[in-house]
Amino acid sequence: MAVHGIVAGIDIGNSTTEAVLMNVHDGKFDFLSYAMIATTGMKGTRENKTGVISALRQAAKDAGVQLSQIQKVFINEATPVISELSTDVISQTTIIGSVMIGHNPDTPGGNGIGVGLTHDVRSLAQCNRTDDYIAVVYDSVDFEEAAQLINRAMADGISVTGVIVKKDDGVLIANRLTVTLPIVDEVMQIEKIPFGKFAAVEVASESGTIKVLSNPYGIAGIFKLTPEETKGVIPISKSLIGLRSGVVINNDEGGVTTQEIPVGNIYIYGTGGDFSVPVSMGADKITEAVIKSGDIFDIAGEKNTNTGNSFERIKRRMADLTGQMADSIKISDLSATDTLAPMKVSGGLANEYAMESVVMLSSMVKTSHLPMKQIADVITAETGLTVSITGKEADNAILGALTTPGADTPLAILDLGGGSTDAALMDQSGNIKSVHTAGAGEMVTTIIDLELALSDRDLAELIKKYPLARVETFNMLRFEDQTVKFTKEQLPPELYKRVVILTEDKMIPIRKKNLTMEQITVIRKEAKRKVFVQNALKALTKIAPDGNLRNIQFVVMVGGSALDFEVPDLINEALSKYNIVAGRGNVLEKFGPRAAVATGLILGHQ
Amino acid sequence: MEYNEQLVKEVTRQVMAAIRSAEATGSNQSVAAPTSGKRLTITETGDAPKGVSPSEVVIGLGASFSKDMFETMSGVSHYDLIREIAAGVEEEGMTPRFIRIYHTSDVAFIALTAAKYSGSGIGVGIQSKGTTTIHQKDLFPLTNLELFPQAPLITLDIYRKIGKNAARYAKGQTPEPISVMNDCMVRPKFQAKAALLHIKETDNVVDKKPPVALQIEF
Repeated sequence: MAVHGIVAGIDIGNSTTEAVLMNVHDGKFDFLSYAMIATTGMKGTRENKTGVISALRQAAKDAGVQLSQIQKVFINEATPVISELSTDVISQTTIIGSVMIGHNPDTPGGNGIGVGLTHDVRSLAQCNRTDDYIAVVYDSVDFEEAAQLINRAMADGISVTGVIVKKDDGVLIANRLTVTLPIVDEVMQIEKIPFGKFAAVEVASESGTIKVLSNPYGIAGIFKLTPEETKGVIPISKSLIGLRSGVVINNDEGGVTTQEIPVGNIYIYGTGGDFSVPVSMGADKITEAVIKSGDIFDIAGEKNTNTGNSFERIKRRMADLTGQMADSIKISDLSATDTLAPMKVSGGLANEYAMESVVMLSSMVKTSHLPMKQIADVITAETGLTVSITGKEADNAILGALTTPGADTPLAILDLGGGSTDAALMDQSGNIKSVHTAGAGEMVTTIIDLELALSDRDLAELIKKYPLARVETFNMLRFEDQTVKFTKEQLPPELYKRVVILTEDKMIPIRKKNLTMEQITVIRKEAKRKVFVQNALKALTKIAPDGNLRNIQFVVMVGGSALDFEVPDLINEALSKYNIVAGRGNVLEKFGPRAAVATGLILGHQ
Repeated sequence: MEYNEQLVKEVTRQVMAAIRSAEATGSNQSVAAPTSGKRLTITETGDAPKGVSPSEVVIGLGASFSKDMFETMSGVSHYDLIREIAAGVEEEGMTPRFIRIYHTSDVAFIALTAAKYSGSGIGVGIQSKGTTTIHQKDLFPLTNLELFPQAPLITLDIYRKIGKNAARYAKGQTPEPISVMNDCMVRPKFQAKAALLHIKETDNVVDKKPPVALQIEF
C-alpha cells in the first residue's frame, strides 16, 4: 500500500518520543523534519498520546506544514518495559548480642593489633597487673584525659593493648600516648560494648588493610575457638576484608549471622519448556533459564514471596494503566543482574553497613494490540489523522539503520534504549530476525544509585550520562584518564577539591564524602557492562545464524544509549573478541544513532 | 531630624541597656555551649614567617582574640574554640599554626592572609566574636571555601569540624559538608551586639602591621 504525500513515523520509547516527517512521492523520500520530546506516561499506554501529538506538532512546525497535511502516521508497537526494578536482597547480616563487626572510620589512630579485656578507661587504675586490657573511651572523656589515663595506667604496670573510642579522637589520643596502640574511633554505640569481655582491636598503617581479623583463623587463634566456633566467625571476617581497622568482641551470647532470606522462585514458561529458578541462585542462573526457555509465554513468581509479589505488582500496574485484566498481562522477557548494595547491619555498634547481594530484575510486558489501538484511536480523535500501528521496533530500527552511509545487508543492529536492548539481523534477501530484551539505560541508573548508596536517582542519572573530573586547584581539572586541563576562568570555590560531573554547560559537584573519582568510575563502567554488554551479547546470540556470534560481522548501534560516551566502546571491546566490528549508526546521514525506528517506520511501508 | 553627638550617645546607651537587660533575663540566648572557662596563654613571638610545610594549616586570629575578648557570641570560650580547631586539624594528621592578624578585622581578609602565610595554602580566619572562614591563597578575598557567618550558632562541635575540613582541603581530600543551624532571627537579635564587638575588634587594628607569630599554650 503505497502512500503519497507527507508521512510521519513515530517511535515511542521508554524515555523519548521521536517523530520524523517525510514527503513521499514516486517511491522517493524527502526528509522534512525531526522532533524529539520526553515520553509522557509509561511506554505503551494511553498517556503517550500527549507526547506523540506534541512531537507531531513540533515536527510539522519545523517542516512548515499543517498538521492536517500529514497523510498518515505510523507508530511502532511500543512494548512496555517496567523500569520499576524489583531488587531482592538475598543475604542479610545481623549481629546478635553485641559483637561488633567491620568498622572503617576515616582516621583511626596508631597501628597494630591488640587483644584484651574490655574496660572503662576511667577505672583502668583498678585493673590487675596480670591481664591485658582494651580501654573503652566514652564521649564524656576528653581525648587529653583519655591519653593521660592510659599513660598513667601503663606506667603503673597495667597492660593496655588497644583502645575503642566513641568520638572522632583516634589520632588525637594516639599522638598523646607514650606507646603505639591500635585505636578505633567513631564507635557510635559504644554503650553497647560489655566490659570484661575479650576483644581484639586491629588498625593497619596508612593505605594498608587489616590482616588478622579479616581471617577467620586469625580470629580463631586470638580467641582460641573450636573448629565449630570458627565457622561462626566467617561472616565477621568477611565483613572486615579490605578495611583499615576493625574490632571484634567475643561475647558469649553474641554472634553474627549472614542469613539467606528466602526470596522465592521464578517460574518461566516458554517454548523451550518450563523452568523454575530460585532467585537466590543469582542472575547467571536466571539468565541461563531465560535463554533456555526460548520464546517466553509468561513469567511468574512464587506466591507470597518477594519475587511473587513483585511480578504481581508489575502485572497489576500494567492492568491499571491499560484497563485490561491483570490475568491477561503476560511478561515476555526478564533481565537479571547481580549487584551489591550497602545495607545497614542490624544490631551494629557503629552504624556499620555490609555489602549485601541483591538481584535486580527488569521485566518486559508482552505487547498487546489493545492499548496501542487505544493510543491510535485517541490520536485520531484529537487530530483527525490516520494512524496505523505497525511492526516490531527492531525490524524498523534495522530499516532506519540501513540509511547509514556504507551500511548494507547482511546487517545486524543493536538498539540501545532506555528500557530495552533490541537486536535484529537482516540477511541479503531482506528477511529480518529480531529480539527484544529487557534492561537498558534505566537499569544502569538504578545500579549506580544502589551501589554508590546515593538514594538520589537524578544524581545517578547524571553520573551515568557524563564523565567526571576532579577540581584540583582553582584553574586545574583532572579528568578520568588523568589528563589535566587548565581553565582560563577561575573555577568557583564550592568545586574546590571535589569530584564534579561534567555536563555540557556546567560542573555539578558530588557532595558525598569518601567517594573518589576512581570508585565512581569503576561502578559506573561496571553497571554499563553488566546491563548493556551482557544484554547485547544475549540478544545477538539469539539472532545470530546458527546461534553463533562469529557468524555476525558488522553491528550498527542505534538508539539513545548509543550516544552514551562510553557504552559503544564497552560493547565494541566485548564484541571484538568475536571478530565483530560494531559502529554507531548515522541514520539518514544526519541523526547519528537517533531516529532509526521512526525513519524505518516510514521506509518500511513503501 | 538632626543628628548630633548627643543623640548618637543616647541611642548607643539605650541599645546597650536593652542588650544588658536581655542578657540578664536570658531572652537573648545563643546556642548553649559547655565551656571550660579556661583562658589561653598567648605569647607573640615577632613577625610571622611565611610557611613552607605542605602539612600545615595556618589559623589567623582577630586583633582582640583572647586579648580583650575571651569568648564568642555563642558563649564558646576562646580556649575551647582554639583547642577544638587544633584538634580537628590534628585528627586529620596535619599541624595547626597560629598567627594574629593586625591590619584588618574583616573575617575574609583575616582568613585570606592566614591562607597566604600557610605552607599548604589553606588558612582559617577567626574573628574574636566567633565568625569563621576557611580560605585558600589563590582565591579573591570575598570568595572563600567555607564561611560560617552566624557566630551565635557555631558550637564547639562545628569548630572541630572546621578544623577537620581545613585539614582535608590541605591534604587534597574531599571535605565533608558541615551542617550548621540557620536562624533568621539571629540577625535582628544579635546585630547590635555583633556591631559593637566588631567595633571593639577594629579598635585593636593596627594599620599595615604584618601578622605576628603566636605561641599558644592550652
